[in-house]
Amino acid sequence: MISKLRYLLFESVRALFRARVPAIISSITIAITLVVFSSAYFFYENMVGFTNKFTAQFNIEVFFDSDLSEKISVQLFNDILLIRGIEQGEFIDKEKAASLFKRYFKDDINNIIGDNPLPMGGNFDISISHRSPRMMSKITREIRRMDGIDEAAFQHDVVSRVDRIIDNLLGFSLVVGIAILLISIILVSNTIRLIIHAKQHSIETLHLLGATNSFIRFPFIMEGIFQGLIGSTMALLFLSLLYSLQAYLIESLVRIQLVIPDMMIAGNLVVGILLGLTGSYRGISKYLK
Amino acid sequence: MIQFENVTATYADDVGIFDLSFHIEKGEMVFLMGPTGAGKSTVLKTIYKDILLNDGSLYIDGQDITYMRTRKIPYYRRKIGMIFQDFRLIGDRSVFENVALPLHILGLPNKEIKLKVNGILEKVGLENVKKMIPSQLSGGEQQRVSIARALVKNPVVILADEPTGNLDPNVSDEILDLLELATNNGTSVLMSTHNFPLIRPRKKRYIELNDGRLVQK
Repeated sequence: MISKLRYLLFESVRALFRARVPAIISSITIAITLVVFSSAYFFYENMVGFTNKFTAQFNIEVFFDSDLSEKISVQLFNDILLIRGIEQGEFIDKEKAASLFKRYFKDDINNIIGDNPLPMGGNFDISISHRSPRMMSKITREIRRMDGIDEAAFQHDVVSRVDRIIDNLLGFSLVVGIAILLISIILVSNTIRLIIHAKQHSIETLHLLGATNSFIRFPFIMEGIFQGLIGSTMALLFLSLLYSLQAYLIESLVRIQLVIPDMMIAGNLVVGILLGLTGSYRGISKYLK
Repeated sequence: MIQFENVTATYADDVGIFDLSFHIEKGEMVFLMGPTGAGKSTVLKTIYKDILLNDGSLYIDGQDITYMRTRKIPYYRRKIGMIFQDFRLIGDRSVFENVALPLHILGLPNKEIKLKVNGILEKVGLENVKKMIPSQLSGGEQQRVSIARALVKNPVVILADEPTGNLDPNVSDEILDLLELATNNGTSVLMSTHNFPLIRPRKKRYIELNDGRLVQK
């Protein structure tokens, strides 16, 4: 059993060198697939990151009843922080409200009416999962139902419009990503299938000599895995080059810091191996009775 | 060693072999004669389980192989040596590797494989070309590689399907000598051919088929 396994492993490595050209074609197909898919994934992840940064500006403004004491207002502020979907908040006391008024209207409220009638309140940031018009409306309603609340509101129109744009962009990216993945699987498995087709004669001979399906399949599967590894290494090298280039071009021109997703290296290796493996498995299965 | 009892095996278009009965003893060499389309290859295919039987019984080495589960066929085929007109050698492997293949399938250790393969290559006179690939050899040499590959695993039966079909008469005679040599170890040989002048001097038993039916045995 061990000598058989050793032979099969040895054969798998030798098969790569014996059929160098087909192995290179397969690896390049896998590499191209991974570069396209990784680029799509790279831009998708950066787009998600960018939209998250943008939507971080979504907040709910709350005004407390003007007759509430500061102590009760702070208590109310803390109660709001406990609501699901509220990420953090800033308490706005009378002085802060007056300074905000001054910033917007360029005048001191105390000078205009001789007093500060502005109510205390708070600005509340929303967690990523709740940054949609529906969820923000729900939170706003929940805040309004609390005792001591005069008004709670957010910029519904702006949030709705941005949310719609983001949804469309992400949906489009997802559809494109899935399409690329499906095309990739078909492309890689057809390339490997063509290569295996050329070895049909050898497969038939092995059958006649008494080889089991697993004996025949094993070297092809291993070959597929090796091709996947080579393909993903090629893709990673090309992607690192591409990243350096985009860092130079995009980041210096538009001043957007693009980030490489954490899963890029591991993901490429895993997807590359899986593509090689499924391609070989599908390809060889056609010729095994 | 080989026992056919009223065997019928047909293809979809209703051609094949019909109600065939004969037997071959251990260590016997028998020729399967008949024109093209007589059913010679079908007889061999029923033995190496490439075609299922419609009717009758078939015994090889005392084992009833009339019905056999698909997953057991590879293990059964390891007892049989097969030789084909087109040699069926693996083109990108050396002579040594081609002959060693059945032993790797059996899972033998490398040391034993080396010993056996070198021994059989010496027997068939190919020890000097063992590092070459099939395309570098003549037709006769390629067929000898094929015979070495069949003999190396000490099969109980050797099935040879027109092994001399592509070879000139002198080389064909050498091939028959090698096959006859195999019977010394108790291996039965069943060889199909339509070349009667080639086998006549051998004075061996032959089974004659026509339209899938037995004419003479």
